[in-house]
Amino acid sequence: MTPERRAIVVKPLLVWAALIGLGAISLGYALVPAVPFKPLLSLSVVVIQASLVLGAFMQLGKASALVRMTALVSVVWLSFLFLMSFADLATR
Amino acid sequence: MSSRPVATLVEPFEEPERQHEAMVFGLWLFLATEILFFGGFFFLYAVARLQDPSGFAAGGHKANLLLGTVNTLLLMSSSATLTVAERAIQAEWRRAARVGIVATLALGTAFLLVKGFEYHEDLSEHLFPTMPAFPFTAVGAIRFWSFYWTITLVHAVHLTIGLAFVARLLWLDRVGTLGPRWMVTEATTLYWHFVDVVWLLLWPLLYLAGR
Repeated sequence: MTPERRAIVVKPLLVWAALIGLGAISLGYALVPAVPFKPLLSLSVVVIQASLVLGAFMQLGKASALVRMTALVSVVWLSFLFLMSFADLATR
Repeated sequence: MSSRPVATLVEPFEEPERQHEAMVFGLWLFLATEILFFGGFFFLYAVARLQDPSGFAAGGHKANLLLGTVNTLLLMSSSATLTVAERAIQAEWRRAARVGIVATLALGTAFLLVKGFEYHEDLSEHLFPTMPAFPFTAVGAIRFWSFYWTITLVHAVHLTIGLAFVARLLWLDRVGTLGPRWMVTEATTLYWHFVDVVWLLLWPLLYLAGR
C-alpha cells in the first residue's frame, strides 16, 4: 500500500477513535452518580467532537474564506436566535 | 488533493475549480439553513429543561441508553467509512471507495433498524405523550418525550435522505462515472457528516440527560 493510500484509511480511523474516546468520557461521567456539571461536560465533549468532524472530515479549515464565513455566520445567527428568545422568555 | 480525477463539468461552469467552489459554498448555505432549523428545536429543548429540570430528567431516565449509544457508534463509524470512500474516489482508488460506500450504507441502514427497534421498545412501554398509559404527569417529562419523538423522527428523515444519496454513489460507481463526478461524493459526504454531528449532539441531550 502506498503512503498516500495508507493515509486515506488511517487518518479517518484516528479521528473515529478520538470520537469514540470522547464519547466514552461523556458516557462514563454521566453514569457516575451525584457528580456536578454533567450537562456542561457532555456539551463540551460534543463541541470537541463536532470540531473534529468539521475540521478532519468536512475539511472546513481547508475550505475557502467564503465557505468558512458561511459556516461561521450560521452559528452567529443561531446565537442571535437563542439570545433574543431567551431574553424574551426571561423578561416576561 | 493534488491528483483528483478530471471532473465532469456542468453548466454554467467552464473550470472545475469554480464548479467545486460553487458546490461547496452552495452546500454550506444549505447546511446553514439546516443549522437554524435544528437550532429552533434545541431552543425548545433548553426551555423545557430549564422550566422543569426534575420532570425532564425523570423522562430522560427512561430513554434507552444502550440502543442510543449503539446508534452513536454506528453513525460515527459511518462518517469515517464515507470519508475513506470520498478520499479514495479522489485518489482514483476505486476498490476502497466501493468498500467505504457499501460500509456506509450498511451502517446507516443498521442505524435505522436499531432506531426502529428502539421505537418499538418505547411504544411497548407507553412512552408516547398522548398514550393513555404514558407513565408521567410532570410537564418536563411530557416535553422530553415530545422532543424525543419529534427530533429523532426529523433526524431519521434526514438520514434516510442521506442513505438515498449514498446509494446513488454506488449506482454512479456501477455505471463508471463516479470518478469524474467526485464533487457529487464530496457534497454527499458533507451532508452525511452534518447529520452525524446533529446526532452527536442529540445523544447526550436525549440519552444522558436523565443519568
